[in-house]
Amino acid sequence: MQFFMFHLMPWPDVPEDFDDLSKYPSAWVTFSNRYYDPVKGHQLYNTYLDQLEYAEQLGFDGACVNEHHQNTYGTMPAPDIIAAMLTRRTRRMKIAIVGNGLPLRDHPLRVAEEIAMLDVVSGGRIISGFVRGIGNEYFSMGINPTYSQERFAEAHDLIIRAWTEDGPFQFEGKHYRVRYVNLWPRPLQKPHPPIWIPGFGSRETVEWCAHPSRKYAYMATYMPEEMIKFFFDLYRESASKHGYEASPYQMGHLIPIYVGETDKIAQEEAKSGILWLYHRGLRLKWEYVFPPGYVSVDSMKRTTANAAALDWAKMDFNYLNDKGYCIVGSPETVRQRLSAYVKELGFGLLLGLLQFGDLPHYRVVKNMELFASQVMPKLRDEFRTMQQKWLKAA
Amino acid sequence: MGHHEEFVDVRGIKIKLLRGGSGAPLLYLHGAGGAGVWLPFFDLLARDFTVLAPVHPGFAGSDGYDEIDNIHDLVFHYINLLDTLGLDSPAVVGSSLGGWLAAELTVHHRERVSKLVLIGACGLKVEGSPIADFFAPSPPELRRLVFHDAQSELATTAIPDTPSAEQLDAILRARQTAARIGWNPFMYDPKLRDRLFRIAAPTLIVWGEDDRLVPIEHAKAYQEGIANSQLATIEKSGHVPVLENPAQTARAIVQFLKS
Repeated sequence: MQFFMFHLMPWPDVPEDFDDLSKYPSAWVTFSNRYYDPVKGHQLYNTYLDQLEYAEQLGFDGACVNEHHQNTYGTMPAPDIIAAMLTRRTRRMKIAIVGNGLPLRDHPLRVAEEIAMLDVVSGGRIISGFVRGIGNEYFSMGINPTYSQERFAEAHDLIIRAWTEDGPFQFEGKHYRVRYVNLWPRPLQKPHPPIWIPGFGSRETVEWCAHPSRKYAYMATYMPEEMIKFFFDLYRESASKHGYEASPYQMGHLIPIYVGETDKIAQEEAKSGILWLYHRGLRLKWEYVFPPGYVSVDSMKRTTANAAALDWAKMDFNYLNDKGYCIVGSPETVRQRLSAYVKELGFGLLLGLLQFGDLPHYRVVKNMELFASQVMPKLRDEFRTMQQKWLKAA
Repeated sequence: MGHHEEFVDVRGIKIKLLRGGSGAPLLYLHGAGGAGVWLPFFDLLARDFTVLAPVHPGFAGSDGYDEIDNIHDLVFHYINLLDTLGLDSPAVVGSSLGGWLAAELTVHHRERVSKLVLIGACGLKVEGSPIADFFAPSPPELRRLVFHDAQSELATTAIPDTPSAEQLDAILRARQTAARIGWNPFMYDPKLRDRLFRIAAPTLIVWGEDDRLVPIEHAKAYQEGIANSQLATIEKSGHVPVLENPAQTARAIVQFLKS
């Protein structure tokens, strides 16, 4: 197993009456940036960066950053910038950007260039995630959502070719046309940095990741256990249809985790932050999340039918914890639950969201330390055989 | 009044077409809300005209979503449709997105439009009076934006909180096609205003008095840009006078087209 410390860098300082939904129907798009205080932001960014850097000292395999725009849920609109800061302040751990929102960028070659720079400077420690960006961001960035899927596919192809082919070559797409593609620098890892794809419930994405020409790691996010199982099984089935066995390292699970001295202490300390994440940070408006054409009409109909599974606002803390939207408990409880998940779901990459919502710094540090000292080593031991088998295969 | 439904092959794109009435041809171009249903408004026109109401490519009933990237692709499609149907220069009536399309069609092919009617037409950039975002609102918010009377049965039927499977399909297709054409710039062509001088056809501009989606300033901008134009406002109507006040709307249009 590999363990990553995931961070969203939330802005927890919302108005006191934020739970008045008539005043604040969404934490995204329209929640005014007058509530962002740059002076406090200075302190917050640096605290969050300290936490990510600390992950290396504690023995995590890596740190994860991601891209979100114009909201209180996560203040990392430019994840490559955060990754760049970490690159020079760490020596050993991987830095995973999960990921860059390709269709939201004016030009995919900027992503190719930034990742290549980071990979070279870091000595090949970069993991490059690609995402489409969530629907909200098409409102916030003015990008036409009906081209989201084709822009993603085309940007992806251009980036991979730019990383792997000798230039200059000509690229002629529908959305991007460049006569002279000739990337300087080229990435250090060969053929290119590993690619991770966070998923949000689309079958097409899973099948695309599993294709033998890609074998990209698929990350399940904010889903209940049975939904994750469905998508990981789908991944393994797709792989075997293509004639190979999927490795656990092709599947990752992003989940908020809190470890306390006892179950009771953990629950008391984590509750506010978990509820902040699911009830406030993830306060989304349906029309924002699914702008027209962002997914196909058929997919949209399926999603409309499954809307309840993603209606986090209706879930209380115990429900969220029981159903696997978070894992909160004593070191032994967390270890047992994660061990059971790994066995049940068969994934090898654990992306622990160890800071969430308004969880204060000292508790984040305690959470990280308890996780790293009392949970991580035991899980590493337990799944060492799996690790050896698959690392050898790789 | 009788009408019938047919499917027409327009250079490889299968299009649903509603046809009814008799007399000189009148081409009706629908708005972003969707189409494919014969409206009471059409009955009022069909007494004097042969009403031809095709469904745009990408909207429920017609194919061709992937063929349309922008308003100019739709103009090209409609020239093909006029040729396919053997229409030389019909009267063209367009509502909302269809009004924008009708204006563009006439700018580019003035010889193919005898008379022009623009109803609550988007298409123009008017400083200080932007077209409202109709993709972000929830159904109740959208009803308030579109209709003069958001509580009416008409409003709740046209924009239901929980659509039937068939309605949902139509809504999703309408939204994605409208977004493809008009997400950014939002439902306008930055160059159209300076090109309106090319419209020589007599033009009637029809606007709901209470249009909150496309402000009345857009009607005035069309009126300024088109030499031979006049404005008729419709009482007790928001953005879609053909639905909210079909009688007054049809009366104004028939009178104009027959004059």
